[in-house]
Amino acid sequence: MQDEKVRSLEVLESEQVKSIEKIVEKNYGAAFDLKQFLVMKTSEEKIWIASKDIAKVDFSKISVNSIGLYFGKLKRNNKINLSTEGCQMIGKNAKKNVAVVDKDSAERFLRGNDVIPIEAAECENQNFVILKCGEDFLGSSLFVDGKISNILPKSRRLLDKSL
Amino acid sequence: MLERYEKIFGKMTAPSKNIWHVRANTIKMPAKDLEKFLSSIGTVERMEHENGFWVCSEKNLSKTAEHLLGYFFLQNASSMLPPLALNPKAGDMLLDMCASPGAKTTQMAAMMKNEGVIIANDVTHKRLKALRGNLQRCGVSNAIVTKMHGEDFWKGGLKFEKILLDAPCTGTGTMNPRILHQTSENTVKMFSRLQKKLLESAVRCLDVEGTIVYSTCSLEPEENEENVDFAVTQLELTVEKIDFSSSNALTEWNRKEFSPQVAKAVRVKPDERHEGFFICKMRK
Repeated sequence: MQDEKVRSLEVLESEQVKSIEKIVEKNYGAAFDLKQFLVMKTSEEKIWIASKDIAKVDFSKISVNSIGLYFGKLKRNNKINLSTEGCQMIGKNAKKNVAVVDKDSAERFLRGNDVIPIEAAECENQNFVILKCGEDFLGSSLFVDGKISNILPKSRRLLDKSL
Repeated sequence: MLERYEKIFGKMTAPSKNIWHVRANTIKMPAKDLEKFLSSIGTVERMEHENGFWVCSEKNLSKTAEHLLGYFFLQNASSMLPPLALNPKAGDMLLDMCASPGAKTTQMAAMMKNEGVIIANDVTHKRLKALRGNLQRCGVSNAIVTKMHGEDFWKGGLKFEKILLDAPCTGTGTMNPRILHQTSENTVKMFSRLQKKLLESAVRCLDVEGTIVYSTCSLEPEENEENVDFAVTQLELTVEKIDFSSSNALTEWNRKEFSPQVAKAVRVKPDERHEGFFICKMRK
């Protein structure tokens, strides 16, 4: 009865979860306790997290469409492209690969444009970085030659002029 | 239809289009921090509900970065009441039978501190897409989205301590002129039948001693009091009093007298700051 994507979800064992924590730490210098969640991975290497209580539910007779929160997608060379929510969870403690933008650039970024950060001291070239403006974490995109190459999904962009 | 409502409520005012109804999404931002942001773009007044605000602003709040980042949900003040009546706690397992677009689901997830489980069900692809988008935007990690006809949900065999049935309805409580113009007696009857089926299914999913909150944004007695009367007399539910300031439910309609328990349900009368709503809390 499950959707195809849900059928492909694999609930990760403790060691597999630890390896994702290590990837987060390596890329963002932030210790994040993923073990507080039920952690799942799709065949496309997408990571979903959910309240551990969800494991108690018997899914056999219900048609499940999605479970929990999309955290991010694992990439080659032990990199991870975090979702906006993943960025908001990790961002507060991140010590590297955080690109700071000003308010104008933040708006342009949220509209899907490439932007130049005002601060990118610990950002690695060709890696995914967390965009930060003031106290806000805006999402993740690629840092390439001093610029932010925008890969924000359309569903997480501002669509009309408004700010 | 307006004549019909005035017979029930007396003179009514349509909700103002110039006031934004905002609920802080406390999963991502404390209400006091959101209030600071809202105060920077307009005049803010707190609702009775501690995380709710009325905002007068010329800015389109749905197109702000803060909305996109999930710091708040645009949700009518009346629509915040059913979750308050159900009162979910961290660790509960509950069913939101007709969940899309997820205003109440995300509110309940915040009340549960993202712990426990919400089964958020709806039926069409379009509605599920909106629901999933809002759950993600609001950072909800304790929800399972299911795609089932509510009338058949009981066949899944799951049991719940708490169920929210915010039923599909005519929507006449919004006082939207198009809806008021298009709603016919047949439409009301069609929704009333569907709502009874949904109630039957919900009751089959409810634990003994479990609680169900039934709500609609309709003004029609056939979608509200008549269905609660059905739940009491046919499904053997007991109505519990809810402590909201509101109008009393009707005790009779079209010469049919309802069970005395129906009077414990509440109607929110439409005014400048509220859509018309009907809310009833029942126990098995």
